[in-house]
Amino acid sequence: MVSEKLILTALKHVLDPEIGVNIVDLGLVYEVKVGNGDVYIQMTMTTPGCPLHESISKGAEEAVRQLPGVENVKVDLVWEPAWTPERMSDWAKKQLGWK
Amino acid sequence: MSTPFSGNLTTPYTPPFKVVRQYFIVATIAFILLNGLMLFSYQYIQGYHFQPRLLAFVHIGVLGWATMIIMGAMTQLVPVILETSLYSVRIARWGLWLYLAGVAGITGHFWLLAGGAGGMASVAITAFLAIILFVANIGLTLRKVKTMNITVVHIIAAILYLATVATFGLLLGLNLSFSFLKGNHLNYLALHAAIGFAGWFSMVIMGVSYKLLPMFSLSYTYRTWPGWTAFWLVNIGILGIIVEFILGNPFYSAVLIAAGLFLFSYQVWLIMAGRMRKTLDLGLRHTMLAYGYLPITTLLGLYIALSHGIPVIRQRAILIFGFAVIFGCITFLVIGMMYKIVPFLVWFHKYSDKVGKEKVPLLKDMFSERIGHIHFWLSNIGVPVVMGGLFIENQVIVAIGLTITFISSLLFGYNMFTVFTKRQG
Repeated sequence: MVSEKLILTALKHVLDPEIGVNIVDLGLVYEVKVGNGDVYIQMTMTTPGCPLHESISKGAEEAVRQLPGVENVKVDLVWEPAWTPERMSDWAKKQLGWK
Repeated sequence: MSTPFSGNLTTPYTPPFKVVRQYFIVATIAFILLNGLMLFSYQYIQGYHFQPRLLAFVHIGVLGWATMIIMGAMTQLVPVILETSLYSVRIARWGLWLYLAGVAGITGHFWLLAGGAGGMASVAITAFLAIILFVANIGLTLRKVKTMNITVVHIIAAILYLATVATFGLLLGLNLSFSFLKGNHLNYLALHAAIGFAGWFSMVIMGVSYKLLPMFSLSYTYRTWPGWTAFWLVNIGILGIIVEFILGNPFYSAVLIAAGLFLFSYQVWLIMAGRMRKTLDLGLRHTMLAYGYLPITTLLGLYIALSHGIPVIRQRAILIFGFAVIFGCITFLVIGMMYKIVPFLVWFHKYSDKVGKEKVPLLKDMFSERIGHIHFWLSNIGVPVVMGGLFIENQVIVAIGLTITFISSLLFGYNMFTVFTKRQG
């Protein structure tokens, strides 16, 4: 059975092509729920007007759908709470030039 | 704190990619041509500004390169900003070729002006019609605007100024053929140039910056009053110089325009100071350099507008101003934004539906960053060298600087070619 950890690993392969950092380390993934082959992902973007929001959210859906045992994937794109840089991992902060 | 200037680049409303791509490709070729022509005719870049070769250079730069890119970018971005469809894709598609014919005709006639200006009228009319078609296409698209924001207001002002500049350009072109304007041709030329730079280009640079800079630098929380105040100062200043032109006075209102441009620089500083993306990529490095040239050109422009004495020094200032505006402010900003927009548009066209299914390139993988950094530094050296050469009136130094900027333009062209020809997989 697919686990949340496995889903997060799959989502780490989805990169923001402009920033070059994956959506998990960017802190864009708010919540992952798994049950009977159904996967629910709540995520956001760095900015409400992000030009890549469609590509990235569909990319997240496709990456998880390819996992064995996954039947349905729902990606819920939310703007509240708004993303803040504090949500990034230390590695992601370093990629963006934070000391 | 106010609502930040945020944005988007592509939606179901955007025109076909290949239409916008044509503008970017033709403009890039014009840019390389401009650099080559200037290098191989460097001996003409001196003395009085109203001479055939210099007028040809300026019009390739402002019409063939900068305005062409802005036309393509507006065709892409205005429908996105307004969340509506472009009024006419057909005008965008065929208007480009009419515009190109007009611009090629104008620059060709300037180049050959010594042999007579009889044909200038027909090419001036062609370029004027193409510009009015573009203004009408964007204007009729803007008619559907639901909510005004700072970028929309700047774009409306910009296209009104573009129509005004084109009208003055038409009058000047007709005057070269039929000599009917009362008063000094050069006074009309001064107003034509002032509205072109302070109206058309300034409004575009300011409006586009408020849209794209926060988006690319991840900056969300900053004060916005300097941006709005800058808008009003620049516009009141331009109205002022139009009144002064009618009254036959020097352009004292240029002080207001300069104050507005300095406030714009402050607004840029506020946006960048609050950015979350600390590392500047190739696109933002070019853009920052453009903002760096802005105060220099503003002071030079102010000096030219207000000075009356020592015509030789003023003449030299006009040459440096023209070069610094076109190759410093406008070109660095255009190249910076092209490094952000063009790879994104090509990436979106080729890879957006493949994310999550297979490995797709990052936007920075769409071109050679190494070559990009090399031409960034070449321009960074070449432009000040040319300005220095013009200042001390040394033709050898000017030629050295132009050699550097020509090589830089070729490398930039190569990188854009790489983006456009990027193959999937």
